[in-house]
Amino acid sequence: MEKKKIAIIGGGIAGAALGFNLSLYDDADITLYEKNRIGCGTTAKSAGTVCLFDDSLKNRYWDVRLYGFETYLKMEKEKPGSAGFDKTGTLVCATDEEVEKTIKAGIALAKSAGYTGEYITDKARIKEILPSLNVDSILGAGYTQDDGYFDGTMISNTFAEKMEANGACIKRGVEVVKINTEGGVAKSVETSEGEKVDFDVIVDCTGPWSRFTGELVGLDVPIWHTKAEAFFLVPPEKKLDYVFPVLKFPAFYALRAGDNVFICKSHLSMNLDDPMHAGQWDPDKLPQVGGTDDYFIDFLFDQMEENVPGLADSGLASSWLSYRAEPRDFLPILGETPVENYFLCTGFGGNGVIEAPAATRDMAKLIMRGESTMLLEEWAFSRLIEEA
Amino acid sequence: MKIAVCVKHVPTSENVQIDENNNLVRDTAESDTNPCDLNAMEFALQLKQQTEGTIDVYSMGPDIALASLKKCLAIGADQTYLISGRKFAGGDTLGTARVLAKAIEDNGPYDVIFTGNESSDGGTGQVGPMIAEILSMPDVSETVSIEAKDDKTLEIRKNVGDGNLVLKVKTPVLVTVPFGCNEPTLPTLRTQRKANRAEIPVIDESMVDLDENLIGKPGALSIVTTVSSASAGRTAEELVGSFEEIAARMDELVEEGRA
Repeated sequence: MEKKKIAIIGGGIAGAALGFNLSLYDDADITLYEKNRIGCGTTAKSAGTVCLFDDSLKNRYWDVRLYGFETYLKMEKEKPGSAGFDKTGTLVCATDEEVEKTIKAGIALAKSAGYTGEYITDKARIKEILPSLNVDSILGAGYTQDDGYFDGTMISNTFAEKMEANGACIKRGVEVVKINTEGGVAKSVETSEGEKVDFDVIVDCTGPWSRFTGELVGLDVPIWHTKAEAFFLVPPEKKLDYVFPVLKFPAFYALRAGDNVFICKSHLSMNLDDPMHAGQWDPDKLPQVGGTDDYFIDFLFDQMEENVPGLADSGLASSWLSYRAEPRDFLPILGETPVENYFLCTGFGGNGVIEAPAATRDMAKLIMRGESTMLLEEWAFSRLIEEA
Repeated sequence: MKIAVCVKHVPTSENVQIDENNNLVRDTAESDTNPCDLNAMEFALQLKQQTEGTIDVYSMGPDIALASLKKCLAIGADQTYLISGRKFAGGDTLGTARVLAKAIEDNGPYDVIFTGNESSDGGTGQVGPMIAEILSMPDVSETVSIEAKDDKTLEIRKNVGDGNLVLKVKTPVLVTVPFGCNEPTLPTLRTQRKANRAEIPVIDESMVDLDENLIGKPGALSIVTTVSSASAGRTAEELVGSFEEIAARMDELVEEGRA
């Protein structure tokens, strides 16, 4: 049987999930190139929240959310710890009636899939779930005990392990330095090890690096970097003596990290036209830790004083900065490009962990069988060209 | 008590650049506060609390060192000073100690001066004792606890390997502090925000009355002639296979002198 030779560039959660989904086709011959380690880039700095209902991904894409969540639950069931699931539940706060409507619809969808969920207006009850909260600043809150957060790096490595078990090849520590095209068709890649390899399909899964990867084939990939600035807070009591659920507000989210609290500005609150929020930067120059802006402390302190006063006097244990890859509409770019045989699976922004399973499942079908899906049509590269 | 603390802003990454004169390029390096300087700061905070004292923090370096000074303000320092100027650049430990000592003397007198035992980049451990020498005060190293007995006397526990010496020390004194001997206070969102808005005075070369030949590159008694990366010389190898295969490989490693 003649196999389709596919190169995946990038071993974050998108590349590893795509590699796994492609490896389920017996006529796929897959090589994944990761210049560093699997799941070590933006994926490693992801919070990994996959909540049954919040505003990170519109309810329109509920099936994408549910597919992602259940993929990881099954991964955990197959091998406990392989997805790094921490079942803390989620509390989503309604700051206005619009948010309230979204939460209530999300709860209905979660219940429809057999999960629990309730919209709570009893302020004392909300306070019981999260004592640090200022319940006067919210209308109510959606709550479920069924979800929580996962670990993007563990998931990526589990996908990598599975794809290798299915016969795919992963080249770790190998960078694609050149992509050769002939007559507008991507043909081969050249690597940092001096290899030149021909491929039928080349897929860019490099997320924040996609602009640079796209340049290798002369493609302007329309993504911006938004800053994901995160802090690890040590609560004033030094220790969380209750199960801190994933906490979602429209402008920020928080989750427990051991006895500390991880807190980050939400990606949908980023303004692509604000140079403090968004721009074009070099992800290779990101420091491992630190690098956050002073404005972020101002923002976070204001949010804590208003909404979670119990954390306003938390100690700042550490911080980090990562870059999310965001197209203008904050949705990924999947599928074909003007360069024949060069595909994109990038631009997941802050939702890579949620969206990767469904997006790469459909991408694999497109690459191997030429069959598109509704999701691929909505998240196609062409939508961004038309917009421009 | 009037307390001074010296802190250094140091590179935290292995990806550092060295310029043509074998000096570290500090402006662009990934950097943070020298770890044991935060332990020194912690003892300063304890003394401040015990004596209702004040803490001034000094850091010598480029603007990037402001981050460490702001952190110290957020932790509880009362005033911080950045000592910065082209003429200070390229100096060795003695030049650094002379400049720090002069700035501290000009703003003093201080009852206690704290420094970390050593910096994580240079690692000489010389600057603290040199400051003490220049300012003609005793110094106590390897401090593991400190307590004010009265306005003029400190009780200091000093690690001496297998145990601690308990010293009664009259002020003024310089105290050097090793990494990990206490748990540094963390800044909070509230205090860090306030610190970020603080104006930090800069002590430049025109404000430090020292002979130019004694500081910076002209004053350096030691010169870094070459810089090379050191390898730890260790390699890890995962042994896989059956028990027999692993045992055979272990035999080989022992033969090769690698295990």
